[in-house]
Amino acid sequence: MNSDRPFVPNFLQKFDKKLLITNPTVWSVRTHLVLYFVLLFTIVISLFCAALLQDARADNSVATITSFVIMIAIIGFIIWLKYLLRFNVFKRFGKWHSADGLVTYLLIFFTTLLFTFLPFIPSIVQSTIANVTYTSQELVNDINEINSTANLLEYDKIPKKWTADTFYIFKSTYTVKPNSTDTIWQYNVPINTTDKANNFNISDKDLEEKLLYTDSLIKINDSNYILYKAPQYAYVSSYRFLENDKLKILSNKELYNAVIKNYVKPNREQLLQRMAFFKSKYFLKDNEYDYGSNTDNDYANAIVKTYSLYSIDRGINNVAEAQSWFFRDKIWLINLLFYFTLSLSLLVFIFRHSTTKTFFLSILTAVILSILSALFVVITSKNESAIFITMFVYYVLFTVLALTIFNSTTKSLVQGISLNLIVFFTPILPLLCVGYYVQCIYEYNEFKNNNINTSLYYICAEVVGFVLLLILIEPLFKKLYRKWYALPEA
Amino acid sequence: MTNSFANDIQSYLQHDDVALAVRRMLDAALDTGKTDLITRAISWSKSYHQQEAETLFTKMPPQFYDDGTQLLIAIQSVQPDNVHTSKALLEVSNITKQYSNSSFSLKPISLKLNTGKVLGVVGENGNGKTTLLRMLGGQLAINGGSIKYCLLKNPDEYAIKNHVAFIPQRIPKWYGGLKDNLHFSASLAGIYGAENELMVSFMLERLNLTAYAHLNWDSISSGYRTRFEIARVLLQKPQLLILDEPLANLDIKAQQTILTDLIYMAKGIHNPMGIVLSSQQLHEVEKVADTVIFIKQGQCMFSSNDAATTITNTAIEFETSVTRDVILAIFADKSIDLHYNGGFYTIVTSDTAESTIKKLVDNISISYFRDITYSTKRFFN
Repeated sequence: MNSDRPFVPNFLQKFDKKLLITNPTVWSVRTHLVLYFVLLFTIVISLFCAALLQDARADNSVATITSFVIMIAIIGFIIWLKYLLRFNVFKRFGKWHSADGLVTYLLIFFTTLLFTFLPFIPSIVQSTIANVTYTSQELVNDINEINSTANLLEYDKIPKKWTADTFYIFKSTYTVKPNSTDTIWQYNVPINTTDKANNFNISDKDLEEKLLYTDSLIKINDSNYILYKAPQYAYVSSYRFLENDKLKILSNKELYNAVIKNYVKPNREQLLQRMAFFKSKYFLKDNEYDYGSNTDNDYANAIVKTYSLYSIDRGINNVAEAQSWFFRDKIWLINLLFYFTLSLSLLVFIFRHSTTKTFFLSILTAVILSILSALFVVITSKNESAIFITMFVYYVLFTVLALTIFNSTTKSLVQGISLNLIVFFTPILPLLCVGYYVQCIYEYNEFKNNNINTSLYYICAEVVGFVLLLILIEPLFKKLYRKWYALPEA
Repeated sequence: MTNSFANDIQSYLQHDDVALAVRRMLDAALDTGKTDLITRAISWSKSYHQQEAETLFTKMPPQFYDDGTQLLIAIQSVQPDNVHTSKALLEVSNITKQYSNSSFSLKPISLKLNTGKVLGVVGENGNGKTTLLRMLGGQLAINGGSIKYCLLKNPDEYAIKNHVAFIPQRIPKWYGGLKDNLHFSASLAGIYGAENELMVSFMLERLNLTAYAHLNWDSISSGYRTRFEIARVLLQKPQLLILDEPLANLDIKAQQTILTDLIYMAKGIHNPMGIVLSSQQLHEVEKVADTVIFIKQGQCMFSSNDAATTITNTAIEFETSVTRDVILAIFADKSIDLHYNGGFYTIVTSDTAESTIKKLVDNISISYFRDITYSTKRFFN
């Protein structure tokens, strides 16, 4: 037993040795060593991040730290591949037990996941710090209070009159191109358009969007609207909360109604103390904007400058950004993690069961086929369905070629490549089918039923694909690899 | 093991052939299958190697001999009765090979091998020895004929590779610690836990590798690499061991040691196996092999099994300083073939070996001679 491995404590050395002499399949993947080193690194990098990212108001340097961690993760992954994965039960024709293939893959997947998860640690630490230091409700309440207080303090300077724009509506229609999903829009612009200030022509389609953001309106008739917009009363905001139903940031209109419409002279000293409190809470000198000798007379800029609201706004936004970076919007992160881990783990699994030459030729084959298929689709002007069908045909072809291994008497490069490719693409086979199905729905039913929620189909396909891979490893892939790898050369 | 085996060990000890006694004692302990006896044998062997390293071949202390005698008595007391009985292992019938990108072809070859037996394959370079060995090891497909692994029932190719250990001429580099590799190999053969520890210690001691076990591949010489590789494959308990030029990297002493070790291990009760080896060291191979075949240009020219029926004349190899004419004059009354390869003369005659040698010794000064009538050496002219 090699006992001079640095930084490995005695208990782990003992465990490593025990695994070596009791379970070579598990030992040879070295998950236990990777887990230990990843945990060690996680603790170190977490402490480092906690020290560096402790002020959530500051412009975060999490991207820089993440880049550093990515490099460490890549180095760790290479060390795992080069130094720890030296022993291979399969290639040494050792005794394989019934679930060894599946166990090996799951261990490789888990170990790869440890590496792919590392780059998320700085973001998790940052998010944790931001969420522990400030709550989202607190941020929204403070934003609303800061805006209200600033408007009350500067009541004399702020404009009270709303802008009014008059819109003349014209109809728009669309038609569908024959044998295509492309649409052609047609506009019936009125001839007698007006050239007065604040008077505009607008299509009925564009008006729908405009109405979403107007503060008030008067409908003169079906083709003539006056839309009102309140002046700027919000100096601090955060887009993170703008579309949040529970945490409501007051809009210009709402601030007008709350503070200006029924203005009552406030206790100025008290309000100034509140503003000083917010400044102490969110102001950071590094976040402050250098106004210089700018003598902009705009009231909003003046208010921002007076109460250092630029720095406060930036501080709040940094906190809000940090809060939401990891713990919200998780689906795409899970997808990213999953597919990256899946791809890497499958490559490692295939490499461990194939020859080096066959492995790299498999990658080359996949790249060449992708290029040729893309060219075919472009040249023949086929749509997405053709891509799915082409990939499906490839999969069937490679499966047939791989299955011929069972009757082979000599090792064939083509069979090895086919086997590698079907193992790699099995998890996305259900996705191909769903993609093709959805494409068919889109092509044939677009305007009858275009509200189909296809995301559930894709999630199911992703889960089914992974399960299908796990199911096929033992009864099919392991047997094929076992037979193919042991076949004699021609 | 038989009583003669125990007598052998005692004889080695009495005559101070301690190294041989230690190795045979280890084999005997292993054959008992008793952990405590194997452990004692390992410990006894270690004490020998330690003493050997410290005192450089001076006589061992009396305690060492006492311990050895006690151990031998203990081994004899539990020695199982079942001595290894040879079983059919390999039946090869008219196998041929034709490479698609080469004009070389291996002509039909048939052979049989039992457990506990050694088959030597000799021949000049590039004549098909490695091709034959790789076909037997399941590494190279055969174009004709059949290979039957008698101890396997309907084996697939993976099972065959698990059953056969092939040590190539150029041993691939080991990665990781040498001892880790040995533990791993034992685990692959289903030897787990304490037994794994014991067997690795045993094999290190048996091949005298304990002192090098903590090193890595780059730190040891090519001779030790061969020995470690042998230790590794033996731990995987193959039933057929194929070695391609295993003696190439070994010194004279190591060649003898390895060959005799292989023979004893092949015949052991612990894991009886058949051995196929190719080598250029004809004399050494012929000494240990039960059967020797000679391959020339892809064809089996000679098998020692058939020698008695196919060899009709005598061949003597000798070294002398006299000229060819002088030698021919001695045998003027006989029809002989005389060849000179630059170092030795080879004389082929219908006379007996004894009379031919007597004639030579009586007439000229000879510094070396050997009867190679039944040796493949006679084909290397």
